[in-house]
Amino acid sequence: MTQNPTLSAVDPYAAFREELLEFTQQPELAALKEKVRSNQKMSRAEYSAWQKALHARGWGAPNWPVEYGGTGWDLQQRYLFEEVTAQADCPPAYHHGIGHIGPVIMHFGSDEIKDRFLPRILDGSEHWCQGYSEPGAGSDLASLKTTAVRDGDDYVLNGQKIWTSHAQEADMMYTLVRTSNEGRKQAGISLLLVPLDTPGIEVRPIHTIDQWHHVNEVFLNDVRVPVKNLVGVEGEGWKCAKFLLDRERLSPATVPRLARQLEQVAELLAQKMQSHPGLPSIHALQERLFLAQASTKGARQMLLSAIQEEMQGTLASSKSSALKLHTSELSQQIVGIAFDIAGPEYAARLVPEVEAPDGSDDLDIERQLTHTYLFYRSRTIAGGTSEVQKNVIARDLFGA
Amino acid sequence: MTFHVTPMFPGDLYDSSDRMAGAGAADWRQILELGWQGVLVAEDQGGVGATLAEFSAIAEASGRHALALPLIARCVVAPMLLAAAAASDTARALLAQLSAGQASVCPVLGSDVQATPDGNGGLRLQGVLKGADLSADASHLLFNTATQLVLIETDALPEARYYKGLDGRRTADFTLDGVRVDASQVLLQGEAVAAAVKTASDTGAVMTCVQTVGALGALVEQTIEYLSTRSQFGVQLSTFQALRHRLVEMYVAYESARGLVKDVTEALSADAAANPRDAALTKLYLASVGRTVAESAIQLHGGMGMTTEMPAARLAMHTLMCNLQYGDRFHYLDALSAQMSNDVAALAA
Repeated sequence: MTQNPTLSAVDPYAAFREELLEFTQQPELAALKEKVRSNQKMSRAEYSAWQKALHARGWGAPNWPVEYGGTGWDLQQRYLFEEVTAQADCPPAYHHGIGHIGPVIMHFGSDEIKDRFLPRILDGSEHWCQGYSEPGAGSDLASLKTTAVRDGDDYVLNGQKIWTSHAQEADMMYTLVRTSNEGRKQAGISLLLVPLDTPGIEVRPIHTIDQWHHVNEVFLNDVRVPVKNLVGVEGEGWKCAKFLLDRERLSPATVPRLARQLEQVAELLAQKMQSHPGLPSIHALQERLFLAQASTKGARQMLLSAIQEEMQGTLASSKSSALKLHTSELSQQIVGIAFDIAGPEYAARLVPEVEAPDGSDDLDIERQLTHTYLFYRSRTIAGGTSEVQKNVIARDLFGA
Repeated sequence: MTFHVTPMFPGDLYDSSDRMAGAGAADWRQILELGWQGVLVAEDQGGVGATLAEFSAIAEASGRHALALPLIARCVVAPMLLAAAAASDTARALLAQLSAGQASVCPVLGSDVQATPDGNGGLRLQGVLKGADLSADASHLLFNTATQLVLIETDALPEARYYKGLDGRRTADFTLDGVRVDASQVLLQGEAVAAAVKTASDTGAVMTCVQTVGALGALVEQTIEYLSTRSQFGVQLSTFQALRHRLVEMYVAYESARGLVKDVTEALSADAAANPRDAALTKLYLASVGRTVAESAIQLHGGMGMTTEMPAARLAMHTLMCNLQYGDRFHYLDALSAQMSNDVAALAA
């Protein structure tokens, strides 16, 4: 992919890009990159290894200020970091710790909470998950019912969380609970940090169509959490959640990742053209590939101009939501092409009962992209459904 | 806040084009007086010597008003072809004249006209020149065979059959059987002709994409305006979620197209030899999203979307027309597909 002139022409970033590139080429990362290249599901081991390597280089938190051990990079530098690491098949950052709860703790947390949790997020030793959704509170998150009742120096939690990614391998869960039923439903919500080894917590896997284990149900039965694990003020948890949404409305990571995946899909199609020369239906796949390539170039420019507008403080929320809507659908189109190339062969033989001893099943990119196609149906559901995004954008465009 | 377009190429030329094209009855004479035919012509050939990005401001704003005049043909494609033939005195003289607004050259690319030597150093022509855009008066027609670039004065042409195009522009077919041209009218010969035609045509294609983005942005604005004004069942149409969501899809398509076209145009402006694959991808993509947005705009305007008095309907027709000029989506799909086949074959070899 050609580099954008507005970035590459500005030379201050050229040396930075070189530095990033050099880092991604170190031999210690080879095994990790192999997993990413084959589109395997990332688990705690891979995320932690990557976080450790970044931390050792001083790049553990690209989105954190320097005073907390972050890089203090601006958005353009963060974009370059994402572009170079994605192109080199390095893993994405583990978003729950570095991306989500870290900045919330910095902004709302007590000194004690900061000292206790931030260093272990930064060095990758503690793994986090997010306990937000409930069976009756999805897009309408403020309807959540899990209760936290004050009892001495503890809160006692009862209720159920759902769609909790990585709960099966996390140490901590930041969770929204109801501490009051008075007033608006947003008003009685608090943000608590819950150690997952606390008695009364049961994590059960949810079996999803992608046949990967991502999400869980988390049952909370008389779970005692110390009051000192409250982030900010009791009853103001909604403010913390909103802060996170506003702060993370522009993710520099989405386009570089899907651009790399698109390159891989183009290679798969080229291989199919080689093995099946003259196949007439190849044109149908080609058209989808070319449209996805054009669309990805468009998305990249949307992101770059949004980054500039955000740095100047002029970014309209319709544009950042449009980017989320556009890239989530685009990522589905891209893996949809891969799904059609892999075809019935992989559909019928998706998960080997006994893995090949040489690990070739895991490295089989067509197999992994078949999983990914199924997994990516969640792209337009999680983090605000496309329909909710459209409501948000429409409110902005119509001014009502 | 309601939505307002942010131009890709803002500035004086954008504003001037916006005023001119938005003033109601489109006036070609004004375009001649403004010297737009010479914007891309080099200074030492009598023109302004501006960049393609600078001209794009004119194209973008003209697209906002569905200007059904041969702006790209006369101000981009014809000057580029003549510049490629600048070894010819006729071509050089014509570049100066069109820059001064004293001539206007209508290009017709990719005809199936045959030219055979007439024995006196000239050519005898056979075939039909189709779809010459004569929405504005032309002093000359410029067309190509496989190996010749030929200029004919419009006064010397036989009677034509005229048509009205889907966006209201006026076109003509000329049957050239038996028409003779002399050697001085052949401005360029040999392999250079195909190369010049391809470069001019690809650039024209990108410029129609710039016009399309102008039209798409205006369609989003006007559809918001219409839905916010019209009431049915006692409420504004803008309160219906089904309509709001379809409008959002139009908006997202516009933003994506805008990002792509701005980037590709700037790259082409900085380097005329920029990746031609990008131009092909852009045209293919714009044809796809342009069609969708145009159809959505008509649907969301209801019965009014079917009427030519509705600006949005004219913008929709302009979009469809731009999508088809200088190669439709299938032309570029075939080109991209052939290139991919070649790349795969080269890898295998």
